Amino acid sequence: MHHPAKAHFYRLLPGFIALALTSLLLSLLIGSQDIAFSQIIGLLINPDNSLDARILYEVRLPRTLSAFAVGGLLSLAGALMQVLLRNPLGDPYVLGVSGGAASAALFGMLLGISGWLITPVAFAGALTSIMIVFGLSRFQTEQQTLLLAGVVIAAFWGALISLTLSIAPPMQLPGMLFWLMGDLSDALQPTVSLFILAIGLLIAVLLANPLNVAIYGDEQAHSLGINTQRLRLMLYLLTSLLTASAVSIAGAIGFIGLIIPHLIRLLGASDHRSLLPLCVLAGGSLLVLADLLARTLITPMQIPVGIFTALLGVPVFIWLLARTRG
Amino acid sequence: MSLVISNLTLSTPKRCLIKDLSLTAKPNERWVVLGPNGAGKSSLLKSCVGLGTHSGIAIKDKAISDYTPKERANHIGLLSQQSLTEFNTRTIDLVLSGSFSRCTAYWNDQQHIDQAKALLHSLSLSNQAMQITSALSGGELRRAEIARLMLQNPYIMLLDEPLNHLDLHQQKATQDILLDHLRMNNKAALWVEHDLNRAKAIATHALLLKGDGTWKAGTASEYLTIDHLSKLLDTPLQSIGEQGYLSVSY
Repeated sequence: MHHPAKAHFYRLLPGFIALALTSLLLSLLIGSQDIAFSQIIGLLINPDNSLDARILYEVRLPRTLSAFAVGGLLSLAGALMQVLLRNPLGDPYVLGVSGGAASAALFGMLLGISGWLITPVAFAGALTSIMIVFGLSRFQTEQQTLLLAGVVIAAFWGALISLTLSIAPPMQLPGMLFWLMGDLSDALQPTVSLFILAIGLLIAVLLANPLNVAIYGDEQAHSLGINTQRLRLMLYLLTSLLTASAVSIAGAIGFIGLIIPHLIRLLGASDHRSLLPLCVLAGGSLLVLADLLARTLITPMQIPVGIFTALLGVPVFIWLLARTRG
Repeated sequence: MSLVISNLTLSTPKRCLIKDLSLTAKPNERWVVLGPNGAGKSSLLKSCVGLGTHSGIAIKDKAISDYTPKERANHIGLLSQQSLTEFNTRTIDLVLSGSFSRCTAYWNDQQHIDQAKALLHSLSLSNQAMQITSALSGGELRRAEIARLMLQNPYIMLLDEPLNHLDLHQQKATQDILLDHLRMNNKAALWVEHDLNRAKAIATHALLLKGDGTWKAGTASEYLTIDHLSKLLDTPLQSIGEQGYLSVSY
């Protein structure tokens, strides 16, 4: 008999790749400026200096790729965080890690830090937040209590963000507001985030086998041959890095990290060797599609994409909570 | 491959559980570990695998902390008392996690998959192989964990009440499978047990932990006696029938 997890992975993979390509292509095709399908394809193969080409290469393509990267980063961070906290309901947004990164970034901006330096500041915020949540999870094994703690921490960061916004100079306000809701309209530099996503996925995939053992708890994992302390440290750093990168590009977008790993587990790919790569493909696709809706639903107005993921995510989250209880 | 414990002391913040314990569990020796609740039986097994206090634990003249995690897992393995299944994995995947320390490729070796299936079959879990673990009964989960430890196949096995949650039929069947496995592979084992009659049936040696720091260790015939066990458990015992079954005197 074949390896059940491996066979299942190769059954699912083509569908997920097709989903990713379709969502990327749709996002390139649809926008406030009508550009024909044949023209898009033509420009992708053979770029020229037309206005359409500039829209495609300077707006749609970078934004689409940013959306894919952020979605991939968040869903990978979610899947890893769930193992770290040994709680299938872990998510960087729900448990306040995104909030921590956003608070730190905003505070940094208030102190005059700008550009790429925001990312390490956001990273420190994410790391602080995840350590608080993890510290609490060591005392409280009850899943619901941990979630509550995460929600309270998220609320605390929310208050800190509001405070920062209320004392910030009015000039800076529009640039800061997006941290609150998650927005991709300024995300036009996808290179770094795609690079971090690629590195993150590579490390995550190398950790997939230990992660499959880590889900049975520290004691079992240790006796099965895992260096549990080192694994936990790596998960801390990796989850924080992934979340911080996503947040510094697009603000605090919620629920991707929760929904995507769950849907993939429901499809039977709970083995991390399959789960992690599929998470990146599906998370990227979902955010590309959500952003497509966000920027086209009420043209020419653009709705922050974080609102869409929350509208979709909250009902799913409640459903999952009810399922895990029952 | 022998497990050597020298001068191990285990305590809780409030009291000393085990003081200066020294013993050597050699191949083919099955040490049954007996004692009242909270006497440090599970803590001792955790120490042996390198968790918590573990100074004085060695395998083959090498301190447990000097092994790499995978090397250690190939030498000594633990069947914990409690299992965690917040994540829905398949039974076969739970068993396959036992091959982690020997796995070199990204996907499991075919050989390990075949072994896992054979083990599930021998523990009458073939039909549950593709089921998710949260759908298993307590006894089925326990047997899957035993299959995992047998796949891990360490020289020394630490079994913390391995037959918990099993029905009577499965207790006997699984006990036989475990004993066969230990005997055929010349393994050393520490086996925590509350059933005194089973202890007598499986043990070659006994470690009695009182929970106040004192302990007794030696051969089964020397220590699995009415006298020793009555004192250990603070319960008057009597011997019944020709087989000498132990029972509480009511």
